[in-house]
Amino acid sequence: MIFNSVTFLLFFVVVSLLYWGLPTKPRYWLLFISSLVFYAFWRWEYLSVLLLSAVVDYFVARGLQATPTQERKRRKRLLAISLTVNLGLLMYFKYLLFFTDNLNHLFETLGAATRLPYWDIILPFGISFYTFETISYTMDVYRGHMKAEKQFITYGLFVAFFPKLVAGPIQRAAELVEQLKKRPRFQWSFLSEGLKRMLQGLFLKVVFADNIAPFVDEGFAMDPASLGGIDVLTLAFLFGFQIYFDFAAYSHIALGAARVLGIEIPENFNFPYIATSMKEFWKRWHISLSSWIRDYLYLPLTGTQVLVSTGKGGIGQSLGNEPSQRRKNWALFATWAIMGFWHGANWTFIVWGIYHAVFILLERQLSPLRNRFPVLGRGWITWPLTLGVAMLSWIPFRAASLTDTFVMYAQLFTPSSLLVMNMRENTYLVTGLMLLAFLLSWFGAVKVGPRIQRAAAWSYPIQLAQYTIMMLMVFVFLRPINQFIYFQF
Amino acid sequence: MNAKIDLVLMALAALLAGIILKVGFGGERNFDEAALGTLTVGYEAKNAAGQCIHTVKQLEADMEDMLASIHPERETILFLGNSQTHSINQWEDGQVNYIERLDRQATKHNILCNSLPNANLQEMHLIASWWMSQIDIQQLVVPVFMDDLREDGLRKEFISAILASDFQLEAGVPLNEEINRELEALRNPTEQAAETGRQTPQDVVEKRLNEALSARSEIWRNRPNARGDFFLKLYQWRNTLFGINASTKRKMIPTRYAANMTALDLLLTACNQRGIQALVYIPPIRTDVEVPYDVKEYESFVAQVEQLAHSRSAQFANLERLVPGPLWGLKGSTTAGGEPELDFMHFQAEGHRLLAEALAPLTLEAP
Repeated sequence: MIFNSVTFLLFFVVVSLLYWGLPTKPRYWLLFISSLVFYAFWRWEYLSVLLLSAVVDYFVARGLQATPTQERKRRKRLLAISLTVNLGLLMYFKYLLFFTDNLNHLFETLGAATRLPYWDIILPFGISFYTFETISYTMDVYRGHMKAEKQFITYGLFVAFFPKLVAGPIQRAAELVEQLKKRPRFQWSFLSEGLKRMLQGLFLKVVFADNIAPFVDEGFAMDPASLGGIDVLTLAFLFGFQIYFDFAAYSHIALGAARVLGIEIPENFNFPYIATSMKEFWKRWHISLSSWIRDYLYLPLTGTQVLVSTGKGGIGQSLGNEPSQRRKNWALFATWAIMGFWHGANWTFIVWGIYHAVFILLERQLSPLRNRFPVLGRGWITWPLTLGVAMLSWIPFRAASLTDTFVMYAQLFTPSSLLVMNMRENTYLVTGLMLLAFLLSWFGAVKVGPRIQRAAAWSYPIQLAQYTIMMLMVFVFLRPINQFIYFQF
Repeated sequence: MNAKIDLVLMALAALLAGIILKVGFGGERNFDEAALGTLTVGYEAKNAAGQCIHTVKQLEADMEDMLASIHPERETILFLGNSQTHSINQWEDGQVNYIERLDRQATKHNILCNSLPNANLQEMHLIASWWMSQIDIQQLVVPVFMDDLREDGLRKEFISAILASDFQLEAGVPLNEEINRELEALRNPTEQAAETGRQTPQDVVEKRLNEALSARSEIWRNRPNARGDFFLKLYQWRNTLFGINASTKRKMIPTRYAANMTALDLLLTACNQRGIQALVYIPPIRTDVEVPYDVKEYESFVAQVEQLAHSRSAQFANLERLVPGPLWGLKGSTTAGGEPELDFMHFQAEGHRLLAEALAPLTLEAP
């Protein structure tokens, strides 16, 4: 089900009313069944993939719980079952076509007549997210960070909980299961906080992301060789804003919907484009993924023992013994290549990942130089630099092919085409407006918002005007014309 | 803030939003007319029998009339056009456009016209190809406006008959395939359905809910009006802020220009293959004041269109100086609260008379 639709809004009202009207025990059955219905509104037959992943990890975790820590081999075998099933599902649904295509190209290059058949495979919505969640659950039980859940319904709900099922935030089992067991009682604050977040999310999606989309689509559909340097930069910024508004919108709605049901899921965004370093950027962008990658991929690759896992904080936190610099660098590149590949089965995503690894490594190397600047003025240099680097990283993420990516990057360094502007005037204008809107929204939320909130009497008319404008715009623009970008991952 | 107060504020906001939508955006709107301004009037030609022979939106009634108006013994001429075709500046009762004038003169021809505002050549290519698949056409008349080469893509409100059919352009040509993909996207309500060609349960439920809401709720029905008003205001504010008006010089957008010229090429090639005589003309433009184009770009555009027409065995005519300055007029302001502006696209009824006179020998009296 798509959040920006009347269907979802109706579904959510019905589920919320039933949820708070029921005694606590059957509530979780209601949420579990509702989550399956939510998923089936896309394609019911792919529920089997979701349930397979969930059931396997449920039993593997129960097995791990029942196996003493001394029986290492058996524990490792159990863990291997979980990893094989989950990564196998990902491999089949997400990467088989990519490998088939690449192998066929290789055969062609080598002059071999062999060709592998292309299978008609549809990528199940949310598979990258729920497989990561089930893997982390099994890993946490394996590492002794949590006990295996006895009740399948509680565990199944952790996997299938509809607000975050399709595109996260990626939740840690311990955080959600604990909340489910507490069985919260209704509070008005759940409703007000949740509805506010949902309204914010819908506003970002239907007013900003969906209206930017045609400009982005048109720009990236152009022949990249016809673009000038300014065009490439504009498109990078524009897509950067589109994906931010789109994905942040999804996360707001997910957090809000969960909050209405009395459940907290971790924040996924925190104004990423005001970051003054790439490391900081990844502590503000898709926080739940970067912290997952840190705990289950990067730290194990560096040989660091993971002592605690939480869905907060983003990348960059070293927990435990300090690995060598060389190993850290190797792990950095491997992690980012995998992170890129997780996003999509295309070389462009791997380039996107490596791009980030290069700049994070550069940042590590240059940090002594950075520290020489006075703290006060440092942000004025590092913010625009970081913003430019972060935005230009979106080129391979959105471009149709590696060739397009490199042609577009080359245009940035071609003096003769640097100032060429070949797109519609409105594209540049909208990009400028989006940058302004982003900065104003940050300023409003971080600097002005808290002050207004403190002056209670003053804040009411301002809040009323804000809600009215947002509701009006959401009502007018609500159409499920574009699914969320992260649904495809 | 107290949660209950917050909820009360949200409820009040919802109420206010509903009232604004009901009061501020009610009634029938015509954004094409709004774009033309109040000084220019839309006009669709009719034949002597009162049948519609000219459509803008491909409405079902128009289409039925147009098909019924075809006389089997006569040759059919299909005129394409943009708002110049279906608008008359400072219109007065009894005045008609050049299509209706030509129809009155025609004794051996069926005259049909399909025009749409800001018609880009990709849309013209699709529309003409669709008409060719529906009826026998002997002549096709294509005005090529420099202005419209800045446009791109299909608009569903002007191709409803095509969307209702399963028509597609000939595959194997990149631009045709792009247009076909766009057609599919317009036929299917969601991205998912357009990609897979299959409606999900959500698509079905969403469509029914929308229909039910539209039938029962006025404010739901007013949503397209509000969207249109919003974008119109944005457009006017942009123009006010940047000092843009109808006389401002507009630069060509290279990729759109190339795509539109490719569409023209494909259209003329199709005519050639089907034995349809095509007439391509450069339409009248206001020449008593400086044109709102880069002069070099405009000259190169005219030369390219002429060369393309000749290479595809089409007739070519340059009618840019046909309508003298006084026969043009003013259009409503394109800025917020501004004064009327010079209209470079639409002329008065007398201009339509001149255009009909110029086109008659090239079409009705063509060998």
